Amino acid sequence: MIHDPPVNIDNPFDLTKASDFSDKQILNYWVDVVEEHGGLSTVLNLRSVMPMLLLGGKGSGKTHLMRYCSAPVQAMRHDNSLNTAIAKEGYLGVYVSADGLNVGRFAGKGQSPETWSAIFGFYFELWLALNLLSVLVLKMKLNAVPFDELALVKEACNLFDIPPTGLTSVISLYDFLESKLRDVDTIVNNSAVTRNISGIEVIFSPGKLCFGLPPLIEKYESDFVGVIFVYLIDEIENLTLEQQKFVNSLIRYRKGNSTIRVGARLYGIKTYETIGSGEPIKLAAEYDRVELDGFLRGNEKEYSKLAVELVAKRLNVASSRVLDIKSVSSFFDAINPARYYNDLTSSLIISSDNAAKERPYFERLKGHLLDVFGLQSEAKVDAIIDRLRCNEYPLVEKLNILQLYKGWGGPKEIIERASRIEEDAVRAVAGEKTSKEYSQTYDHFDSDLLAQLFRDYGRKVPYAGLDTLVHLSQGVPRNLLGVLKQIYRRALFAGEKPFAGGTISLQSQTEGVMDSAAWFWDDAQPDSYGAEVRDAVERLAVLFRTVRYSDKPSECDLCTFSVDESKISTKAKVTLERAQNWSYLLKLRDGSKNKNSQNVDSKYQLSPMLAPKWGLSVHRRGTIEIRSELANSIFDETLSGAFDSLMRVRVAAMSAPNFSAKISADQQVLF
Amino acid sequence: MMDLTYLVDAKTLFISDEDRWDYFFSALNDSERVRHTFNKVQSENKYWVVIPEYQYDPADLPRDANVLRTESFNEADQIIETIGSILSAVDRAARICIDITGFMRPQILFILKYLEVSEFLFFDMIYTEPRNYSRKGETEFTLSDVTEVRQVSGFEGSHNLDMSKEMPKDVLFIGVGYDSNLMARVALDKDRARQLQLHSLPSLSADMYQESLIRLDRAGLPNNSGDDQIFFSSASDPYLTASALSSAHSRIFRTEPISNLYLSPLATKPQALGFGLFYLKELIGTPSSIIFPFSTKYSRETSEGVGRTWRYPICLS
Amino acid sequence: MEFEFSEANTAVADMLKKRITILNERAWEHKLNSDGINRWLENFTGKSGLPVETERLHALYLLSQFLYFGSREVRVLLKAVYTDLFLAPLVQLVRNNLNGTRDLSDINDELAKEIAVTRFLGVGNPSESGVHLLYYFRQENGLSKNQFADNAQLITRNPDTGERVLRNPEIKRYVFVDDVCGSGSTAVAYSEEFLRELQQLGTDIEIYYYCLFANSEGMEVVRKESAFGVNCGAVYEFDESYKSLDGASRFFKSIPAGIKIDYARAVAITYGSLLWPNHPLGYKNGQMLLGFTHNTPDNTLPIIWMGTDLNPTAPWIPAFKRYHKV
Repeated sequence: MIHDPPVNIDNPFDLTKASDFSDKQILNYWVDVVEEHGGLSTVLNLRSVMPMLLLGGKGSGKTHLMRYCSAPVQAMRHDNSLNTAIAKEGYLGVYVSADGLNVGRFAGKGQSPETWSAIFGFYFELWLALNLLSVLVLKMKLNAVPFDELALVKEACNLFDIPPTGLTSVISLYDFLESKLRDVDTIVNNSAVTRNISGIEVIFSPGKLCFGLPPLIEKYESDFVGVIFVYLIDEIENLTLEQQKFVNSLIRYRKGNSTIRVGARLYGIKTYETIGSGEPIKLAAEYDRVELDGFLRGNEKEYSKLAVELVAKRLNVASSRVLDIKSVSSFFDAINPARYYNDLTSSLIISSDNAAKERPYFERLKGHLLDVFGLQSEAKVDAIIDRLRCNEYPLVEKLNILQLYKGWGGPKEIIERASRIEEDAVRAVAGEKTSKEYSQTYDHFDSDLLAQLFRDYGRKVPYAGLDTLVHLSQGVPRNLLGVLKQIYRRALFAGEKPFAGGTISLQSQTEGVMDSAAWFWDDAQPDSYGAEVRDAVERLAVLFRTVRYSDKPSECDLCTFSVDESKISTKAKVTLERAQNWSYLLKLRDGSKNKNSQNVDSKYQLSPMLAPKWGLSVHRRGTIEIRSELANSIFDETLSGAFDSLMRVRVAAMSAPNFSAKISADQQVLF
Repeated sequence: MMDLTYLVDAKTLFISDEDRWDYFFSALNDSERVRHTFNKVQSENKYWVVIPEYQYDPADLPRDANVLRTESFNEADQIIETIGSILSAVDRAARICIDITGFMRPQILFILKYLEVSEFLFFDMIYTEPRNYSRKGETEFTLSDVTEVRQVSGFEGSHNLDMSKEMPKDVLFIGVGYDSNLMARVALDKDRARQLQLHSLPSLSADMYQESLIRLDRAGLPNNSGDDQIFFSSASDPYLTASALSSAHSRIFRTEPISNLYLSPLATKPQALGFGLFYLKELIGTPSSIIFPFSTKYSRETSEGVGRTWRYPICLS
Repeated sequence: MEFEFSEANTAVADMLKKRITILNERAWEHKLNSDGINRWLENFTGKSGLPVETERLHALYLLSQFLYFGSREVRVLLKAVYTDLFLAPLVQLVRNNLNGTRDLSDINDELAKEIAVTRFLGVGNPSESGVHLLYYFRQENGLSKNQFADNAQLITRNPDTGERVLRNPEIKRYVFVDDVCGSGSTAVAYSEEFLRELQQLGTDIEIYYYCLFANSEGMEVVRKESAFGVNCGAVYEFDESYKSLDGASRFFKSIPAGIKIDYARAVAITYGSLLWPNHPLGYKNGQMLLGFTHNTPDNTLPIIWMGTDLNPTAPWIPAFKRYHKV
């Protein structure tokens, strides 16, 4: 019997619509975030006419922020009254996205780049002006104020080289501009076949229209007195280098009561040059620059709230039932850290214990000890190991071993150290206070030890708990959806009835997180250097992993590194930039002062979305400083042959039994 | 009654002794099915078109046939410089045949447009299937990453430019294929659009449909059954594809107006041809365009043996 | 999944599990889950001589290659039977009869006439799945009930002469719709029993056989030995590469490390022989890995579908159950 599927168990987190965030939701979310930061006027400086570049990676919130400033959303904030909005806020936002221009067609087809440049500039400005007028029309609809429309339109016509005749209303001017745009569309599109762009006439000088109209509007429509007209031009990474020059020219030649906020991906700006012989536009003098990436990431509280809302919406919860973070959390099993993660670790060791085999980490330690004591001293070595045993608490055993490695030396030192560790361990298990060194080591390295323990038993490192999942997504709702989608699928398959009466197991969460790391890794990027960037990030991750799973890791929860960018090769720098552009690496604000050079090093974290792929920590604590030679071997493809040996040297000090004496050559930053 | 607009023509098996043309064009690549067909076809004039995506050296080119070469990477330039250079002076009633097997999908689309604008309204296109569709796991056909996603020349449409209104209701309609990377790139490019999918079912071979679902998942695209987002059409028939697109289109329009429509045929070449036929018939002058993820390098050989050759009679009037 | 693979096989097992998880969600209508798979894997206990874990890994591999067509997909294929196999060629026929006209209204009129003298039927008796499909075939294609006939009603007796005559002599085309054509024997048997006579009684009558899935060999048999002759076709024809365990099998063209076709074969034959001694790899050595929403055909490997209700002597838990055409 062909039946339609029994129940609709479509994955509620599948990435279906972009309209997950309608204007209303954007509004609600950003109200909180933006207020936290002193309001929009502080963030985007909207009362200033100084143009600004707004840069952010995928999901940095840049587009939402810009939309938040757009006229329709302004009106929404003030009970659908645009004039109240502009009176209170002091600006009028005209939002456009370069993506909608489909600029790929302004190229080739038998025309020269110079020709296309001129056509593009003309088209672009017509387009801006059209959208400006559209907003004006919106204002006239929402809050009509009587004004001399005819006079406004007449003066507007004078902005053209040859004033068009017969236009008497704003709408007719709008229609006129639209018809001009359509004419260009038709000719440009046909030129693929005709190889001919004759018929396109540039009817005004660059800048005349987009900077000329706002003062006229202010002059005739009193509500606009003192208001700044802001062109919010988003996604200009879609423009070619030549086309971006035009936008830069607009920035340079901006005047009057209008300004520009340009949105682009972090490394989406291809040039700062302008059209003609122009010098590049100057930072601070001609434009400001704001990098948004840390923005959402830094707002964990608001983001958590949004995350819960998103989950609730996806689960179609009736609005009367308010889901708070606690109840959403309860759907997910969490890792219990109590008593040295005993819940988690006890099931781990059962299988090997049943087989009456030695625990793997003790096997390894034995080998290292025999190295120091000599192969004949098995009894002595066993005695030392017995001191470190703590059967019910494998994590304590791991801690003990780490402590031993930290105090490694000759036989006498080791025996003495083992005995002190034994005392500490006994106290620890009894819940009493231990030596400072012992407890500090545990505080720092608990998650690394846990990861190592899982690895020792051939299991995947667990990643679980709602706060971990939210943290993984790094302030990007799309990432969160990606993670939840994979987890839901795994949980459903495992029969756990996710969100339908059951809780989601640690295993399903971990598997889902690993799946989403793979997805994030493979996720499409808008440029073509895939292999290079991935290889570089892979090398970096391998370095981190080697440290984390070494006998004596130099840093805890290692997923962050610092580097003096002035000292690395150009190719390395470019790859580093790309990795950031893709959000594989996150640049951190607090770069540290390099001990030797006194420069401020740049600091980067491996994206928590990717970290699970290599069993790394998703929370950052320790940082490793990477010198230029090693950095080049990681990020510069042409120098990557040296990576393996350089890495081994770098981690030599962390490997038993020698813990290579060559420590002095490498700076190690602990926290 | 079913709308037969696109079914007036149908594919037929190509029989080399029966069909004859005045002009025949084929894109050179290393696959047996392209070379074999070139030899079998009977035509007054036959031309190899050499496109830069396959990176041929002058030394590799066949010496015993006419060769038209282009170095451009723009599909309009490519076709005009090659096919256009021969056909510009030819009688519009001449019998023309294009073997689409070796051409890239944007080129196939532009050829359609070019012939239409040049008033060659009746012509044939042929396509040869490989003998087996072997599922090669992670095979990618493009050799380099996607360099850009843009509109195909001739299919740019007249998109809505007024963005100051509320969130636009853009729609992206993807012809689901095998290459996860291509699908993901296109979806990324129009990530604010509502995404619809045209699946190849019946697929070229029985296991390909299920495989494409896995590729779809890898591209991060959804596959919810409830949302009226999924449509189906045969993979190997451009007429059925065009017909399916047409009915999908009217259905979508009935439920919600679309501000901008973007189509992207990422499955087979016959499917791409179907997209082209549908576009030329119903979407000219509308805010719709065909977009494609362009790469600069392609593998010259992706399948084995020679399967059936199909002839698609095209009528553009 | 409860069953733990050893370290050497974990990576492959994880990958297979992930593939199955995705397929289950996207293609298999959630028919299986971790529990179901576990219980199925427990069927394999080392009888082939290979280690249990190897058997289970290979069984899992076969499962990960299973082709399942769900309700949505079957409906699409039924539509394809009508549009791709029946209607499109008929349009061309009609055009031909009208001297190649491109006039849509003329074509539509003529087409309507042709369809009016066409009847659709199932193969087999009304309770068999092939006939059952007709209901959905009708729905998907928006056809009226009148377009359908029952086999029993094709021929009747003239009350005066007592001769067997056609009940509806104006009908010139009979189209039979089936789901699977394996060896072709069903279609052949059917045509011998009913259709030879039909053709004798009405020499103009055309009969067609269309199915969703067919083995190439089976289709050849239908072409050569049945009354349908060349008037047959399938939406999907399976060539020899769909015989999952033969040398040309497409399912073993690119395999992960540790998977060997010989092991898979050993597993399938060992257990298959216990489950269905005469056809250990599926009816007439079908070796298929195919199933649909309403049933699993018996050409598919028995290890996939056999259950105790079908064979009480060999206790077995199926992955994709089969309901027998008894």
